[in-house]
Amino acid sequence: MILVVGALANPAIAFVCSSLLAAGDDFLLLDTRQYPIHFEPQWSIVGGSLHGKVRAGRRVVSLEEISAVYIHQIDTPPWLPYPDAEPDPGVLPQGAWALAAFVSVLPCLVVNGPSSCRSNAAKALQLPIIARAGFLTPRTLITNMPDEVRRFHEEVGGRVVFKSMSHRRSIVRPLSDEDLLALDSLALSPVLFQEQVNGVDIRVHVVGASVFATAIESGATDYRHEFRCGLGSPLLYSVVLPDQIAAQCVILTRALGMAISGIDLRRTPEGEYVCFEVNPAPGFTFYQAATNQPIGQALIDLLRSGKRPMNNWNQIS
Amino acid sequence: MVVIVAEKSDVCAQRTAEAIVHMKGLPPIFIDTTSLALGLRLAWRAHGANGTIGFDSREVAIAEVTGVLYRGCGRAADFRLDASDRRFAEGEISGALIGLFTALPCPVVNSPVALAARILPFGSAKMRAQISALGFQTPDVLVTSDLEEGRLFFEESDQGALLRLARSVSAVCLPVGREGVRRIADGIVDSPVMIVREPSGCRLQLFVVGEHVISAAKDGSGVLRTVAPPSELLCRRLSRLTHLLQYDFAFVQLTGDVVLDVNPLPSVEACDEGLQRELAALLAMHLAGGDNLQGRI
Repeated sequence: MILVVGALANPAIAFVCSSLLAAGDDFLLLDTRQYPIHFEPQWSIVGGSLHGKVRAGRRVVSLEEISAVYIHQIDTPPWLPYPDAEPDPGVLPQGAWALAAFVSVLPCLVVNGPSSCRSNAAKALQLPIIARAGFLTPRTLITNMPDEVRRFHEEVGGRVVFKSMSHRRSIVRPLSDEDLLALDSLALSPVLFQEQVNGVDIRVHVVGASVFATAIESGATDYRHEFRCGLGSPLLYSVVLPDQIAAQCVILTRALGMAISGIDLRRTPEGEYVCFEVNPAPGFTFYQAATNQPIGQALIDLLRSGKRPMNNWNQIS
Repeated sequence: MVVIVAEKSDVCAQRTAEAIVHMKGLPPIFIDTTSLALGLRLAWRAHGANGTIGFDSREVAIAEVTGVLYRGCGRAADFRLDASDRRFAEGEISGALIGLFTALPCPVVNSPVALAARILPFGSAKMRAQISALGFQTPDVLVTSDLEEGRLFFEESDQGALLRLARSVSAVCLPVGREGVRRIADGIVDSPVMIVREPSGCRLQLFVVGEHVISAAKDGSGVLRTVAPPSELLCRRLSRLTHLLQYDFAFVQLTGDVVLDVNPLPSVEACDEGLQRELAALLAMHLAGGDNLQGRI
């Protein structure tokens, strides 16, 4: 039985559920917003043995029945703030705590577990891991000090983009002359500044050991924003990565403890591959629809197999 | 230079700052997490440990940081921000600090990654096996949001039980009888609770700082005081246990060989002044570079 965790309105969740349904696979959909009324996990370890169950409506599924879990875009518990801090109800639905704790004890495949998603909440944490996987990364400054931004801007010849550091979605924007005049607002929060890299965007989806690469041609700095806001239609098409780069994508995904990833690369005019970040909950349906790549099917196959990809962190750490 | 990231009122952080002054003659950079957005000054070149970090008027080159006492990121607390913007700022600040502290080659006590790794302890089979390999056992536990199940498990715990909330870093003793059940009910409102069954035997309370272990016990007035140290063998095993969990500083509750709880963000408010200073001196030594924890295993 496959546990699917997320909101049905999400295209990735909808794809997985409809595929499992069509194939007659047994699955259970849990929406964290419905905790504890509609679902409730429980487990015990007594005498060293783990037993547990999850109740969802009238159905009760034992822990042993769960062969794989797919989680998509639930807010995972944040980095611990401080001892016995009162929770901020706006930050995290209670169900996310329940689910995150539950999946952390499951011995089966979890795509992707909360701990592997955390690197997305601190993108700076990913950068050294990306570099160790063999990718180039753009020169990066994290600061809330305006003078440092001006210095960095000069150092990289005025070609700077900025974006958020946490998992909260932000638009990657070039740092304009107007922005340079408004740097005092930086005092409110540090911002991640990066050297702008020329080239073609490539989104790589790694699912288990399978690699799907999509090139995106767009006039915008952030093609996702361009598409979402209806400002244009980026051109998406399948590409084949050099073997070495594809292998690095798999290594990177596993190093971050992920079974699926969406890796943002840019291929420079010189043919080098620069890596920006790794998304632990990729919206693969957008790329799949444009390219007919069987990304979702690979995910379904992975979930059915229940096999955990081997973590090869030691290879690059 | 040592950097302390904590609430200004955190007694452990205060005592450690005092011990660092005593040892080095120079106060640490104290980043007050109750006003991060107001005082933090950060410029970090993410390719290596280059840049500066500071708070208010003091700052230090990141390359000169010898250790970080990290007690969590706290709140942005900036009156200029509304609730939504404040949460965004908090996420950005914690993202920046966590990234930086993970990249530093010096001791970070405790690593934000290690703090976040386990929502509830003893969960994974691998972790239980590793704990077992050190000669310790994990306790019988129930994690539930069902009060009736929780009550039954609690009432069958003859020797008493501890309660841990999913969002908390420490377990607390449950009072016997109805009051204990009421505490469970209160906890369940918020998220699932973990009830830890206490085995028979004498419970030890131990602070571990690197290789050093201090045994403590409550006196008649409920104040934790230093007591006779545990055996060298137990000290070594405890040090390995906390190392396994990637903690350099922890409060461990142990009954026999059963590890009831490991708190990686211990508060020292309940300790007497002597114990507070003893812990602070050990932390200061570790953070200032005088206590190399490498090679414990």
